[in-house]
Amino acid sequence: MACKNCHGALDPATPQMPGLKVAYHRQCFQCHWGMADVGVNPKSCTVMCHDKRDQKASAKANKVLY
Amino acid sequence: MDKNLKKPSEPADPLSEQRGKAGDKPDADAIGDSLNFTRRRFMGTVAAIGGALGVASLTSGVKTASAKEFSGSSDRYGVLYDLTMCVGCRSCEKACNEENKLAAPKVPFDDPSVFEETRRPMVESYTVVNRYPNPKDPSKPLYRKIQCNHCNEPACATACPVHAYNKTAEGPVTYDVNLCFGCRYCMVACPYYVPAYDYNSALEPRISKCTMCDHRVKHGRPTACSEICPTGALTFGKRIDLIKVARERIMKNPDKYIDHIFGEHEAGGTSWLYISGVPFEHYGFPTNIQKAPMLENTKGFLSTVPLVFTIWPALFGMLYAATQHRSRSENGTDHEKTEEKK
Repeated sequence: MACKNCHGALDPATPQMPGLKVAYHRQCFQCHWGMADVGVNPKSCTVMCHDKRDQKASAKANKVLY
Repeated sequence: MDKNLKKPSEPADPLSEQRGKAGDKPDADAIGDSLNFTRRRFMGTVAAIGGALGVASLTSGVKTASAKEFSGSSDRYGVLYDLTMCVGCRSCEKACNEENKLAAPKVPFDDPSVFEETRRPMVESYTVVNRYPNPKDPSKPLYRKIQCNHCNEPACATACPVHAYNKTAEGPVTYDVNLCFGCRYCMVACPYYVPAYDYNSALEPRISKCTMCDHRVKHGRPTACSEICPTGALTFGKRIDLIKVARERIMKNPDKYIDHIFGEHEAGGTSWLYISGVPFEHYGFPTNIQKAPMLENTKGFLSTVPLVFTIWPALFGMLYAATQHRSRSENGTDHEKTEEKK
């Protein structure tokens, strides 16, 4: 069963049910909090998981080219 | 011509008639007794009226005060801030900055050097995130986002003499810059020291504080900060539902949370609610805040102020007039007695 079947967009009527983005992040943070400064340094999000915008842009460009 | 009409030569006042009969000079003792009697009666009447009005004003003041009690709309929104989930990413600061079209920050949002000093909300930032040491695990520092708590009975709105603040039915406490004349009473009144004054703009006074994204919340949309929060540390919803969520989390994880929802009762309750794993004073929360709204401290007194301004001048004016009249009469009598002795 996919996460998104239950966790959709954030709905103020059901605050006990986290949205999909929050549900994913909570899963990550259960183990990775403290690893590579995740949760300690705001820049760490781009170190371990997320690409920076310019990296994303270059990745998209490479995808188009190849 | 009507026969009932008095003749022009007929004296209207019996006292003047008496004076006329006694000759040009009035009987001083008789007038003195008459004036004394009148004065006593006058004083008694004034005291009775004053006492009755005083009692009435106090009674009506209590009624007025109790009638204006406001515990907030039951359907109002709020934000539950779970401090144990905050990772200090400052996404909320960035989202707030963009939503309210504020000036670019001096320190970029992804620069951790900003945590080296403790900040407070200012003109250029309606919300700030500060870092605190974690007594349980030093490797995982604690973070706290600071912004207006949007009290159920806001002290800032009570203190504002021009009604620049307004508590909306949806929950946010809004501020109208067009009405503000810069007295800064709101800054003194706020128990959380949130409103910030724009000292760079002396001619156009301006207070800045979190708007709780009033333009979004009134349409049922979450605040920008709670929408962007990646870990769900900020949860937007109806305040009454959020209290249930908070209680459930505390009940299910008694080792993780302390048994206290900050904002449920503080200063009469706030739209922002907090749960934490360490005592709230560790984060710098003011923990000496009374449970009753700040308004309760002044409501009884302030409700009598308009009555004092209307009744007291009249009462004391009458007393002054009476004493002046008496002193004038006594001076006149003494003068006449001196004349007679001569």
